[in-house]
Amino acid sequence: MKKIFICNLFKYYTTSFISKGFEKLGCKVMVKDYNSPQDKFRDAELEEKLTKDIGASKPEFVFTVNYSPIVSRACYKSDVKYVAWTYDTPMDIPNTDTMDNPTNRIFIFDHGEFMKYKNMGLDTVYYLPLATGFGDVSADPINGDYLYDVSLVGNLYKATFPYLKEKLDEYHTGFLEGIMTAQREIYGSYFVLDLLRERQEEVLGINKISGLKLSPEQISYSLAAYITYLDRLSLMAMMSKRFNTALFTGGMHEKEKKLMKELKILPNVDYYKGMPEVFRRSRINLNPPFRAVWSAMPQRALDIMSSGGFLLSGFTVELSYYFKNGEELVLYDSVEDAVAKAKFYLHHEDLREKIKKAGYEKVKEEFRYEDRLRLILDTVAN
Amino acid sequence: MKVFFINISSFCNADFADALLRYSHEGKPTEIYYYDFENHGERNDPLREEDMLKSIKREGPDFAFSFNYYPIVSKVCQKAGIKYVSWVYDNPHIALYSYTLINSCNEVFLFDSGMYEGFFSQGIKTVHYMPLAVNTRRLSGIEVNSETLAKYSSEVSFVGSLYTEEHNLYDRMYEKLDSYTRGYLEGLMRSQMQVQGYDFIKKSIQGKIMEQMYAAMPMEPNKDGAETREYMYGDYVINRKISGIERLEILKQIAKHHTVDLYTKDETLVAEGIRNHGIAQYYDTMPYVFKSSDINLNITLRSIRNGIPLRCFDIMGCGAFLLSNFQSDLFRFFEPDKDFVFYESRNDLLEKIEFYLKNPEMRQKIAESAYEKIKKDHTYDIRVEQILSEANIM
Repeated sequence: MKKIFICNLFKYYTTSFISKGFEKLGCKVMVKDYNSPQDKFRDAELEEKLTKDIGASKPEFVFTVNYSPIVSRACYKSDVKYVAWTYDTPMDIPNTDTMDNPTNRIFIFDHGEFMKYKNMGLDTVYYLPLATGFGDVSADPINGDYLYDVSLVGNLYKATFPYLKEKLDEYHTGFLEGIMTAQREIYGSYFVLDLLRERQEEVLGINKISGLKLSPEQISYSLAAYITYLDRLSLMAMMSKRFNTALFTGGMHEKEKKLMKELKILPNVDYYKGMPEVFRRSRINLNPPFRAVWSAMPQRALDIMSSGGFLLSGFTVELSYYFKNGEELVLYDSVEDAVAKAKFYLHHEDLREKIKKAGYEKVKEEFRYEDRLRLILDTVAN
Repeated sequence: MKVFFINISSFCNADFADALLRYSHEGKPTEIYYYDFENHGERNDPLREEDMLKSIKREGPDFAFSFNYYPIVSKVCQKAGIKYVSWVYDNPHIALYSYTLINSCNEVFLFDSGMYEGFFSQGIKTVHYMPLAVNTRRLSGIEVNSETLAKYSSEVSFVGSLYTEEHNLYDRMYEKLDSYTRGYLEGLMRSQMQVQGYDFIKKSIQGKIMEQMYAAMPMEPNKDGAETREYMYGDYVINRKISGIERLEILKQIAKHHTVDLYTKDETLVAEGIRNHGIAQYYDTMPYVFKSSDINLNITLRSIRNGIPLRCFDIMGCGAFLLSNFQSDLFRFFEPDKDFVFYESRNDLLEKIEFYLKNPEMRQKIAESAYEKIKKDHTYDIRVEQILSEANIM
């Protein structure tokens, strides 16, 4: 029987589905929680602890959701295979140093990111789109009894940009806002990072004036987060003025709340116990993706469908590749487009139910944990 | 058939006239009456209009023709009751927004399908889509010998403007702009340079940005035109500037690895690795340049949305190898990697230059394939038939 050691350095929603999935495939799964390291890239003490634990359990391989350079080093030292399956993109790592450790088997859910690393010459990377597990958990999706017209489960992505802006001069503020205005128009492609990497002069200027030491990656992340924030804010404002709209979130500023007095603001829901129900009881479920994500299928989008919810999502390349737009889900490419489509599908219930059912069937068939995990097992065994 | 040919300086006049003269309707040869015309952008010129009308009445042509569109000509043709065939090869072309565009005498052929869709989708019925063309008969007669090769031989060549004219609109406006707007436009232009096949400039210069630009350099839409400020600032100022920056940067990047032969109006431009030959005359010089270059670059002016620039036809019509940025209209008629090659990014461009310089046989095959297509479907002879047919003339 294969032994798998799952290390939880950070809390990730899907770990439970994954560990149960491995068990269903006949593996013995050991899960251990660790205190989240302050520095996620280097922590000698944690690395030592991990090495000891790995040595003691002697697993077939170690597994984490998302990739950890610390775990990678520990596994390399112990000569034990390390499997990581990402569900965040871009990967939060300072450089690719540990990625070529030969004990790595890194499964990346974003095809664009996978290709990037593949083209760099890394042979420890694989492409593996995500899975979703609520179709197994729930019975048939509930048809009647809707509580909301439109829902969004998630945070508004409050960004660091406003703080950066305070420290900048007019020119560089304009520069970054010009870039954001342009990128905001575009789904299915993200050019901000490449652009910032090319414009060393402006990045130097930004750091000089602000006194910070930001890399192009960090600035890019900040801008993407802000664009996402603006998207989600506008969506909530526009949707709530027209439809019965709910937002399930960790928190919202008074200023933001004032913009949308009609919005029902509700607390966060538990991923396993509360979230699927919300999706089922909303006529339309929004997935406004993190705007640096141009390729991948977000976990949220898949979860909505497997819960039996109707999905209205921002366009990404892979969503459009795996699913038929207008038949299994609906994609939008601007806030205005999303609002128009919400209105349309609220008025066309039969069509909406048809799409919802088709999406549910599709993920039930082709996005099972069991299939993904079996692929991981097979890949690692060879 | 008699054509009232608005004779205003344009590269293509001679080639088009040549094709017209070869066209005969019901066995009768075509006659051309040239009417000299100068354009300074006026929409009204009573004396000139009267003179033109008199000429038309006297000459009795079947239709009037001009490259590009002139509101005054349309007004006169409408009065005279003859069709006005206009074949537009510029984008932007502000005259198209004149209210005269809907005159029933108009048959306006636009080389850019994006431009065509823009007007047609708004209910303008006087427009058609018609890609440009090239005179392969003339070009096939031009042969390269050891002398011309010595003069024009090149690995990578680029024929085109760098939009560096003094007092160009962007630089004039920039002088008076506040810091924020300067930064914003820089960020916006740099972003656009990352993307091909979609122009987001006009959408991104509204509100405060437009106010600032207008304050720095006021430009008013014509009183008798439907153009917007976004169009004027977006295409005439910003997209033009982007193209200037982009072309020079690209050529400089290429020049780090290969000598680039540049043929451009601005003779003062000096850059390492770039041989600036000054302007290339359309009839006398360009064919030799294309026929003697391993790789001929096309970097389309950013305001041209989908259209195939004349330059592409010039190159392919010479049986020469074309390496172009992405322009979607190319794909209506030509196959990538079979008739031409396109690049998706600057890195892609550099890689493709390396590759195709090392593969002369592949270049040759591609150039020949394009040339066959051009001879078959994209000569002026063919266009004359297509235009007359679509305009319902003859």
